[in-house]
Amino acid sequence: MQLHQIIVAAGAAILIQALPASADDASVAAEIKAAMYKLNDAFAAQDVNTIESMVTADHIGVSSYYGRPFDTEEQIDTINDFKAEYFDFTDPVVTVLGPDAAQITFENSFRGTFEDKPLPPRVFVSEIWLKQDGKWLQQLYQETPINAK
Amino acid sequence: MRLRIAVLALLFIGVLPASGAWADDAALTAEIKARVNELNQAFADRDTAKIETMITADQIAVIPVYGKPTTFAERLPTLDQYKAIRSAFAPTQVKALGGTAVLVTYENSKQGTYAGKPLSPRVFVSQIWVKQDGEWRQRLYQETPITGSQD
Repeated sequence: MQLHQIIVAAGAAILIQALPASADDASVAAEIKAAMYKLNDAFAAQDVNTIESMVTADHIGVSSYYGRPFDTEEQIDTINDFKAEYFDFTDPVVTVLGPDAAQITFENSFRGTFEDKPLPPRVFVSEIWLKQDGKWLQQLYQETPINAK
Repeated sequence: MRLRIAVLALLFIGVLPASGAWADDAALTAEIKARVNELNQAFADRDTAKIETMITADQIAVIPVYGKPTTFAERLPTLDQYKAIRSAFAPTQVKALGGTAVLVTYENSKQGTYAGKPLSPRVFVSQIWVKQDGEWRQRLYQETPITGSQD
């Protein structure tokens, strides 16, 4: 193998590393949205096994009604205290941050209570999803109260 | 011999972190923390020209007192109405999200007002920074009011 062939091969290896894992951002966005909906359904069904399989070991959530950042164990412990009816989701926007990382943002209105305290009527939500062992897992879920529409 | 060197070179490239440019996480953390502090100072100084060079074109901030996600262009006319004294920053966490994005999180206590309305006294903050044209720029700033810490 000549030197120029080595350089070309090395360049190709670097280029392959720089490419996203999926064919294009649209397919990654579709995967992330599907994972998000599956996790939402798991929370609605209080399916603890599925929830635990879809979040990272260092997952944290942050919401104003919880009052502090919480891990998955704390969230599951209080899952029965969260009673909500969701409506008026905006279309989630997925931003691919790298081959194994993406962010999803959307707004949501809901009615309900957490530990009998009223939930904010509308929130902005951002989520970070990471691909670990070939599977998309949620690493951060953060809500911020915004004005109701 | 040359083939063996080529194979070894490719194997070495294969084990480099996706970030590539970073020797270790500590170097990345230090650079990002410096950028966060630099941007905070630019906001404190109302240095709009500098702020604009340190955020992405599509940057948004989600701050409860504003009531909705806002672009910098939307916040610019009322920048002087945001008056805050920041204090008691909790340690900043920096998490690499591949080679060109990082997540920054911390808690912050502050006193102040925006347009006469009080700011949330304690907030959890997350920021997404992305690397564009060799520079780290903030793409998202989000605050959530909290009353206590996780620990």
